[in-house]
Amino acid sequence: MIKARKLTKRFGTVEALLNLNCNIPQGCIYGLVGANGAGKSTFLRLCNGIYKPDEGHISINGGEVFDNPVVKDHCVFVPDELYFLPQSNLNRMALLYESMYPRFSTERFADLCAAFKLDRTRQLNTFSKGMRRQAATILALSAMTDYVFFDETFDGLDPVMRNLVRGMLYDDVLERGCTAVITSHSLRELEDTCDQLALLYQGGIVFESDVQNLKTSLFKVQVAFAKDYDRSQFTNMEILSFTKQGSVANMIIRGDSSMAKVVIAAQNPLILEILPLTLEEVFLYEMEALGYSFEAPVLKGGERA
Amino acid sequence: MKPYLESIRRLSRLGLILLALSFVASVVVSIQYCTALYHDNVPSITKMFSPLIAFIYAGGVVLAMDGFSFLNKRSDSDFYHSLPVSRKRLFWAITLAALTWIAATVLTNVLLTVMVFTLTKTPFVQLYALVAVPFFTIATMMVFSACAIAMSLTGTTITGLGLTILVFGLFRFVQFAVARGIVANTPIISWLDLPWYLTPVTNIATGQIAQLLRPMLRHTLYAPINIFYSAVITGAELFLARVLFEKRPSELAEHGAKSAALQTVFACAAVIPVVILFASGVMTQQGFSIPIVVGIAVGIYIIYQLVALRSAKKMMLSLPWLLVPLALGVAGYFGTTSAAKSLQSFVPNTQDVAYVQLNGANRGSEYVSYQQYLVSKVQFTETDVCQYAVETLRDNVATIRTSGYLNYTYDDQSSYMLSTQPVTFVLKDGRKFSRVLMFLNQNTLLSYCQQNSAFNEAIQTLPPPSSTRYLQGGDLYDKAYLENSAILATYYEELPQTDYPANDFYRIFDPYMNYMVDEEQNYGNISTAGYVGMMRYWDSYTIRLGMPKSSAAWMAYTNNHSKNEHLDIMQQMIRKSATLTSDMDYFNISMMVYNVPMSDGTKQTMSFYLDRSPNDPAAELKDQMQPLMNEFAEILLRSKPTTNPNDFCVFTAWGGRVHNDDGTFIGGDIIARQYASSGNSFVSGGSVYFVSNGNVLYGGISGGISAYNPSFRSFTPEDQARVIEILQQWKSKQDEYNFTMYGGTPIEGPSIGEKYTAAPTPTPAG
Amino acid sequence: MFQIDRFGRTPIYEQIIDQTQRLIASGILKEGDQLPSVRALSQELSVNPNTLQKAYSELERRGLCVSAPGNGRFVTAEAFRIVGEGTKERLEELKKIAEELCMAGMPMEQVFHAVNDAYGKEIES
Repeated sequence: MIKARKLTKRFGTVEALLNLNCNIPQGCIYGLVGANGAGKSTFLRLCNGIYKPDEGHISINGGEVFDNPVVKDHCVFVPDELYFLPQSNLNRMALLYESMYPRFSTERFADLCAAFKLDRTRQLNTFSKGMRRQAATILALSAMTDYVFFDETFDGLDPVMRNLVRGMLYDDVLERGCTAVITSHSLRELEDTCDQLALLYQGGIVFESDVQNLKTSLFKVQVAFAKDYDRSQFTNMEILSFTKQGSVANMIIRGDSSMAKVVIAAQNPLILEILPLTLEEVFLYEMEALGYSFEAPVLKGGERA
Repeated sequence: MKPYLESIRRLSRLGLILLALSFVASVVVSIQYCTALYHDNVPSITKMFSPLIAFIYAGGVVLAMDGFSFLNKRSDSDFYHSLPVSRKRLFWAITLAALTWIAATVLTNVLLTVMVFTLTKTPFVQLYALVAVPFFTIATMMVFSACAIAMSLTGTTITGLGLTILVFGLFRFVQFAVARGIVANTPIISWLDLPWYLTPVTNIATGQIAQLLRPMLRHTLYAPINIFYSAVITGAELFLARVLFEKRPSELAEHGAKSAALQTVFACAAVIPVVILFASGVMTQQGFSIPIVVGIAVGIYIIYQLVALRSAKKMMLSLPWLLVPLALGVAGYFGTTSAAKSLQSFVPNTQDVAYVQLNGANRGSEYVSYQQYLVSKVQFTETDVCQYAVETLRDNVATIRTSGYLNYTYDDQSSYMLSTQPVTFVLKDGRKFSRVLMFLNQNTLLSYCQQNSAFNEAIQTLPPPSSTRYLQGGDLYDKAYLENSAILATYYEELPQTDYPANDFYRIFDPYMNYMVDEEQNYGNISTAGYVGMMRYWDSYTIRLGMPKSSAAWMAYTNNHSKNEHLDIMQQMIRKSATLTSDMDYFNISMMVYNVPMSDGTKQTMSFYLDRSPNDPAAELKDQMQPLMNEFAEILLRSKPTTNPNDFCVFTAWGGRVHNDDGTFIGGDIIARQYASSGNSFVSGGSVYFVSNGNVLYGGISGGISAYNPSFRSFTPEDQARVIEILQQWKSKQDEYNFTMYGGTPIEGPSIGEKYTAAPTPTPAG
Repeated sequence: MFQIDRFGRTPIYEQIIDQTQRLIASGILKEGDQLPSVRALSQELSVNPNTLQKAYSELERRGLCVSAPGNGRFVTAEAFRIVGEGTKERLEELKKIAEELCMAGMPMEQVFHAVNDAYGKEIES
């Protein structure tokens, strides 16, 4: 379990993370999404003992991470900017990983390299960007750690590769109870892979939920009634958004969709449609409810009715 | 263990390159040294292992920068800090891996050098190899540790290098500048007399640089105590580096320093060398140089801060801190001059002195005699010696105070007696200090020293015969070595039977005495070089009549090497030299005559000289000497070589280029016959002459014959009497020539006198 | 066995549950049949195993399947009946809708057409 309590990190005058709290349970694939500069990479680096928290705690399996090899033994990091030893190839990097990670598996490494058809003797700086990402992922997964951290690793991978890497990850989660934390710019990327999602905004986690719950807990209802009506007609439901044009109203409702259907149907609408939302829409509406509006280009707190 | 092995692997690229480069350098340098034509001395550590001196700095910096290179890039730094290895362990893995490469390189190079020396049979001090390994390893680690500290404090390569220089050298630079100021301000304190806290050589890495500027420091640099002290310092620095490494935030990568405050500290540190240079007196401390120094300091500070802080406003805000190093400069200036004065003016009371030591006048050179080395170990507790030293110190200090320097009058006689000697005073309370004193009378000092039995023994002690490696400039494999060692053996046997010290420096010297008289007549000298333990010596022994067996041996050796004197050629040339035609022709002759009987009953060595050339303004005078020369040549043809040092004998060197009237070169046929087969060649044993295909050729303007390897020749009693007469006349003509040409007056003394018969030839030692 | 539309709006978890129910209802999955393991399914569909686990847990909660540790997951005896109950409810709903349409004046042929279409589509797919 990864636990962050009031985690704060500053760089000079910039507050990258402020009083961040979260729990990431074991065996979960946790997605962290946020705009550039929101603090995703900072958070991952704190989880891996690269940075020391200015305030607060970040612990894994009960132990503080920073400069603690006992805890870090269980963690491996695939950063956004990859690092390889100069003029090295996969074999050389495997030597490095093997010397640092006690449970590094050379068999798994060999299998993965074969599966991805990567030449282990070729210099890594001749690989394409995508292949380098694969290489780094292979090395990380061969370390057989309980916690794996991917910083924007999936962004920019082609769908085939993404599937392959996802497959490797699923195996680890199933076989060894591995926990993965993945960051990305895009919800779309994470939606398929993760089972937990969190939104990082201005140094804190403002929204966190199970992915499936997200998709089912919020839905759009399109209704029309013969007679005149307004929002107050649906007081017994949690309505996040209500827009009406003519006699057709679109509502975003949080709750159980079938229940909602029955309740509204009882009012004999002319039109009644329940539509699921994309994850992005879910996030947008949830954020609005929390008071943030996402008007490009600058994110700022907004007011809503 | 694994991180250590991984670090060795990671450093292997540069480690191997350094190893290979130093390997090649060592091979080239040592082969070059060993195959050089002429050696007369056993080499110092600096000479033997000079490539390793470069390695100290190159290896230390390169391995540290490479080992810690990841600290300067975000992605690299993040990666290493994410690994499950504690920072402490990571640091030590890198450090020990670097140490492994360094030790391997040093060891390889030392072994290689030793091998080259051994294979070429070039003498060297074995113990030097044993000292060199820890010395160079630790020195390189010192540089490494300074760089490690710097890398942990900054995040870019440039600032890393800059800070390395500061950490490595700032303190020692200040110390060196202060020391230099003191040495410059005190004529009686030299670099080897500084108190331990100002000595540049205790830090062997910076000491190596100091030694390049002040070579006399070389002799104290390699002392084991310095190596030990440096090892302790290196350990402390590595410990500090480790602590800094642990505390270093990963986000420091690609930034100059953690905070603006730290940058300001670095900027001030960068300015300090400039002001200290001024304070120590390296730059002239006059009015106009002060604004220049301040200007340079301000310039450096501003530029550094602009680059580091990247903001003109921040730079301006930090300017007041510049006053700190400037104040240090002022303090340094006053501090140094007052420290120098107070150091210099310290004069103890004689009764407080436990003993003094005489360190030897040329202790800083490569040529120190074995006797000087032994004398430097003697502790003179004798009151006379101590008192004389104290009085001299007091007098020197007073003279400096009044005149600003050691202003002692130099007249002909007393200048000979002045002697500059380094002295160490050890007081009864244990304190110790050294000064370079100018003694008014060397003889007085020596006579006091002779009260000490250890001294008397020391000055007559010869180095163990087995320790000799060079004899007369030739090594053990030189063919003359065996012959020379016969002379040396005789000398070794004879010296204890006399009162002579082995080195003339320790003789009581009489300025009024003519040293070419009786037993003082000297026939030659023999030089040896070698080493005992770590101590290299270079001795030179005078062979004089007072040691007849050695002199006889010397004469025998000389005569053996003198074949084909061609005295007949000499005679022809002498005769013809009266009527030289060609402008390039010339002839000269010089004789050392031993045991010339004088009117006061002594025998003396005298020298005679005559040269002839066309267009000589003194031709008339020389014409008068011509018959003397002719007769002398005739008698010389009848003379026989002698090995009796008590004999009246002559050692004649001559040379010239003289043509017959028919244009043939006198001596040309002999030369052509003897040496034509060798083509263009110099041949010793009688001639310096270019020959090509049997034709006479001159090498340069002075190309001619010169006979410089004569034998000692003695005469029959009748001939001897006649020669003495000839010499009497020759001398008066020579004096006349000197007076006419140069206005010189002859030295007063006895005149050439009675006939003299020699004592029987002593037998040289077997 | 399952077709996942990951670009649609229905959550994968719901799709799994729906498709399982339909397979049971249509008799393709019978009592005692083994459901594919989470692992195999995860690899085949490239779906988060936790999501699949959740879907299966929900199916178990509804009584449609039961897991024998070490052996796998199997369709229960009551599965068909439970699904059928759900199906029965749907038939009632269809009746009600037909009533509404009738009251609104829609001709019966149009309703038959719609039912035909639906069945035809199912038969075709």
